[in-house]
Amino acid sequence: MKILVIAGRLIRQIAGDKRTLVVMLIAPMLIMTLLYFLLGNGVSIAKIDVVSEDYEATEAMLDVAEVTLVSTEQEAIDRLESGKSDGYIFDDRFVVEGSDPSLTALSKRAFMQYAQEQKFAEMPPQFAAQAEGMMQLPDVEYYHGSEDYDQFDFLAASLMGFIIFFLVFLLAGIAFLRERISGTLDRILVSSLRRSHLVAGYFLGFGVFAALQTVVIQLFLTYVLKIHTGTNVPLVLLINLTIAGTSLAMGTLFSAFARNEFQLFQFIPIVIIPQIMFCGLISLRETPQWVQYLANIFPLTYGADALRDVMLRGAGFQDVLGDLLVMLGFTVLFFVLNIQVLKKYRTL
Amino acid sequence: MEQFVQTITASGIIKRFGSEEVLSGVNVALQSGEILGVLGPSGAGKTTLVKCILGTLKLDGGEVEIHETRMPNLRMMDRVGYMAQQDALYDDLTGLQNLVFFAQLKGMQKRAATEQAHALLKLVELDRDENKKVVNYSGGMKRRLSLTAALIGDPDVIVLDEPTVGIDPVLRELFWEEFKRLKALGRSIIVTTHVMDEAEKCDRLILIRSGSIIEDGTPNELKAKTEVGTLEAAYIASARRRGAEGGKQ
Repeated sequence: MKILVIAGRLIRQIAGDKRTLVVMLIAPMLIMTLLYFLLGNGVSIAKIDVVSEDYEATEAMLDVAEVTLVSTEQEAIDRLESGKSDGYIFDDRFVVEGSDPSLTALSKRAFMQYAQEQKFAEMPPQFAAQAEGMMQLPDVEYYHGSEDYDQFDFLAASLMGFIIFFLVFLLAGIAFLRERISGTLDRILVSSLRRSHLVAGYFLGFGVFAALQTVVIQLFLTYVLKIHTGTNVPLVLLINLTIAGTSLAMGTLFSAFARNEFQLFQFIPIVIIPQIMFCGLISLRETPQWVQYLANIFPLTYGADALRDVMLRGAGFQDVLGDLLVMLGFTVLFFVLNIQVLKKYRTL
Repeated sequence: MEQFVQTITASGIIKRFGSEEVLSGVNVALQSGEILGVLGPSGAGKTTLVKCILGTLKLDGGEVEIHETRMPNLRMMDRVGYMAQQDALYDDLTGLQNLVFFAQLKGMQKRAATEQAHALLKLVELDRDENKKVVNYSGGMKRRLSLTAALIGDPDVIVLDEPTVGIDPVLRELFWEEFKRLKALGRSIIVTTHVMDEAEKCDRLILIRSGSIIEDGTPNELKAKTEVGTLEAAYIASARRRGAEGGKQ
């Protein structure tokens, strides 16, 4: 029952603290919205200048580039330098600005299109038609997902996991740290409260808010940003709660090694930043083997993986059970360590 | 009044932090209805001693018994009230919520806890501010709330670590009246202090210095040991005497 007493107190504290509520509930929506506009409407075509009087862009060309006609090469260079274009075409020279690889790739696509069209124009018409047909993309079937998935759809799943992990880590870590700093930990341990019940109370108290937060983020993604969140809402909730649990166990454990809030923040580069990198926001496919092994020691790798499987690939409980168990293992490990560390405050 | 019984027996307490010995074989005995003053300069080991008695620090030697139960013992923990040097309160809860929370941890039901909290808050004249958040309390109000948090759940051993530091004389008077009331109820009280006139009000005093007890007796017994006849003189004299002995060794 004392677990409930601890949880009840935490709920009362958080519910009475508008700032914390805003951070937990409003901030994720803000971050998601910003990223939605940043990533969802990302650059998809290049800005290409053509030094020509009479070039007329074909429809296929306009699909890959925004074409501007300029009269001299110097003008094209000026526009390139001032950032108004990503590259230019002057006779058979193709020049790309070159500092941003993604824009370079888009420019190359436009150059390719231009070069092909020039070659087709030189061919006899019957060959040209045949060649053009060869260049067309065959019909593609989508095993998972669909044509209208954009980059944000893919990232939203990992991002949701990360936001929950990060906020719970900070808020629970600070709450537990305050308990030590203010001396209330000493006081509450002069009672028959068990150390494990104290930590379990934290799980329950913060769990309520993590659940609320998860539901808010899920509803926001599904109905406001209209992102693909899959159909298995309870399973996503379960995964997010597991992530929150791992994060809480980590945050409260790490707070033992910080003397104040600032020292807790110093864990962010070590504990939080690598998890952003490894949770799937950046593809690890072409990284060295050891980097991929490294990713496996971070709990969020498993949480984000499970979220992607369920939200994007329609996976069920059986498919993500492995990920959930690994996170549960992490949680139990940190929980037990924390209870050991608490012996510093009371041996029993 | 109930019969005097031995409530706390601490024998041969040794506590080290790293290689430094903070307490070297301290014995403390306390009866019901007795106020024991722990007197000593800061850094003498007073807080360490009370934490060892409470069972929140691991002993490196010796043992502590409360009501003939070897500490630390979870059930016995509920019968101990503790007021730390820090206020140790939840700023974002109200005074009443704080007390009810601590009472529930001691195993009280919410209703009984609320009832007792009201009574205690009235006693320290906080009843009109009980629904204010602690963050809006003054320093003195926090001190008073912190005291009631140690008294909630009716503990029969009350450990108060520098309870009157930083409070005005009127409030100090109120605190001591409360201590005497508790003493009359048969509670055992340990008070650490470095204020001499407070020490006078204790039934028995132990003078602690560099982790050892250098004097143990009633205030009058200690005073009789010096010509001047004040506790302050007794304290300084015995500290010097010990210092000189230490030098010879």
